[in-house]
Amino acid sequence: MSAASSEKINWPAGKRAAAVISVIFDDGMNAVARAPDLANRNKSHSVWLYGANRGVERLCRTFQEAKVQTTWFVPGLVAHNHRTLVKSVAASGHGMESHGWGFERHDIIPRTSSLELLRRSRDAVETVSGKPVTGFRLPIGNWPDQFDAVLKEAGFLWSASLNGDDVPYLHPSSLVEIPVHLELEDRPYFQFNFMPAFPAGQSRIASYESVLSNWIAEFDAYRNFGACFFLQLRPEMTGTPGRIFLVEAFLKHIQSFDDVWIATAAEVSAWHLANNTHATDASHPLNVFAAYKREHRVVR
Amino acid sequence: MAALLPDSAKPVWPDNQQCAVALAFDLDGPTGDAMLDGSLLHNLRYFTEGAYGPWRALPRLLDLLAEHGLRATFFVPTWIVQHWAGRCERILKEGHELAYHGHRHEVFKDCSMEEQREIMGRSREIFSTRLGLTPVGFRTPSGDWSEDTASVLAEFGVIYSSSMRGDDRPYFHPHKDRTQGLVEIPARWDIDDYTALAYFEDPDFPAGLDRISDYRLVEQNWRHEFRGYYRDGLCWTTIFHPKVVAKPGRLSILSGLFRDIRDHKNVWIAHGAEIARWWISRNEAVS
Repeated sequence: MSAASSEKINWPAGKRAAAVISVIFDDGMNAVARAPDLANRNKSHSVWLYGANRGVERLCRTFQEAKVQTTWFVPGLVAHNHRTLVKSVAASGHGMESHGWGFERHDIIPRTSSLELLRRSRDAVETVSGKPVTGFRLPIGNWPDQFDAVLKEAGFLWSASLNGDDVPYLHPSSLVEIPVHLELEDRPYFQFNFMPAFPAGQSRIASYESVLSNWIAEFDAYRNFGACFFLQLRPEMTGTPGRIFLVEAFLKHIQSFDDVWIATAAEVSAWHLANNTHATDASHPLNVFAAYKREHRVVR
Repeated sequence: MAALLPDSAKPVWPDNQQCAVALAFDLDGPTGDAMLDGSLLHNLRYFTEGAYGPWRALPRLLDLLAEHGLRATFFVPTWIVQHWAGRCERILKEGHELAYHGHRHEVFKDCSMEEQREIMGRSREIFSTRLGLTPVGFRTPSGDWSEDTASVLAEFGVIYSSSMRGDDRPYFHPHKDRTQGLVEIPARWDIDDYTALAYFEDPDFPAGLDRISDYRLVEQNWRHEFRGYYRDGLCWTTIFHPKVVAKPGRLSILSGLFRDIRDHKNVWIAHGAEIARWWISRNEAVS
């Protein structure tokens, strides 16, 4: 067997894998960024505004009952607009992190603007939540060249934006990346709006039982492989009366194991920095990407 | 009452085995359209979604194949061989077949005959220098091939293709001088993991962003597929991609499928090349 498949990451004593439960609270900004016309359509826009209205509270009640600390990604503008709500989420013990300022695309704005918006977002979320913000999730657009260094300069320690693995890894700047996967998000399964169409093909809404079953299959495998499971929920999609059972059942399942470290992303990042700082090998996705760019002499 | 259509050409397999299974995986990684049009150079997130295949998914898949004692064929763009040579060596070392799948997953239909020769030449060189082998199989990357492709493949010593969809057993491609052409080991969308499980955004797949299927139902479908081919004594191959089907939770689908295959007696588990050679030898014997 190769070194790679037997390579195990270290987790805290007694734990064989980690699980992060995260919430993306963007108050419809992602949808509006993709379909700007949405902002002028009260009915359609309200599909997403349901999150701030009801979904956030429902998710928080569920987390509280399950005694689970979660990780929230909030655009600075949303922290600003929903000050009281975000404050109370933070007060109930959840980690509040940055999801940019206002769904800007960092790949098409100058580095100085990126830096300014990242700092502004961090400040806003910190001020409202009253807790330090160390993490970031890319809102929209591509990951710019050497963006890890920009994030470090803006005061971030970790990101949950890329794929490429299912255990944390380090960027050249030592920014920790905690990889995320689309099949562990609720949006691909549940997003729906008639006009503008979300998703583009107006696909049938997935079976709730099937989503639960898929997530459990994934979690069980992550546990088996010693990986870092990273669930991504949205208040307007799973914080609903009909779907909240899914979150409850899923949390009950993962809490039935005592060998899985259920942690916030900030805790996973800090643990990784302190215990798994090994350099990645040449065939790690980040290094192959660097080689790929060298082949094409893409240097900025 | 009308006569039933007879099953005209039920294949014969070595040692009178009931059916042939050529498990096949396309190890595309980040190659493909976005690499071909250059947009991938500015899309690290999408690159990492593809790179997950050779980097993280493949070793677990190889472990699972070994656990079930199964041998498979891997169609590998040679850009992957260049960047993940160690991973590809392991494929070879564990008794699997490696075969052609373009260099960067080129669209052969859109390439001139000369461009196709260039791609094949480059691939042959990389397979030879990095892994010390010369493949004899080919699967068309990204869609269709052109009318020149079969001739180009013959120039490179390729004896079989697994690219077409229109049959459920091997057949010979027609050759222009009426001699026996390439063996085709046809596959079908029905057992392509993209149709049930692949989901990417920016660029989107599927185009309308349809939902990811229920894993257990996908497993059921694929087991029905295998059982149908087994019952009728045919040749079953798959279009699986490690970055799609060997994600952690989805390995449970393959695990169930592999167990089902192993629970059937007289299944000839073979490389594409072995099936092609058998088909050629049978045909010579018959004629």
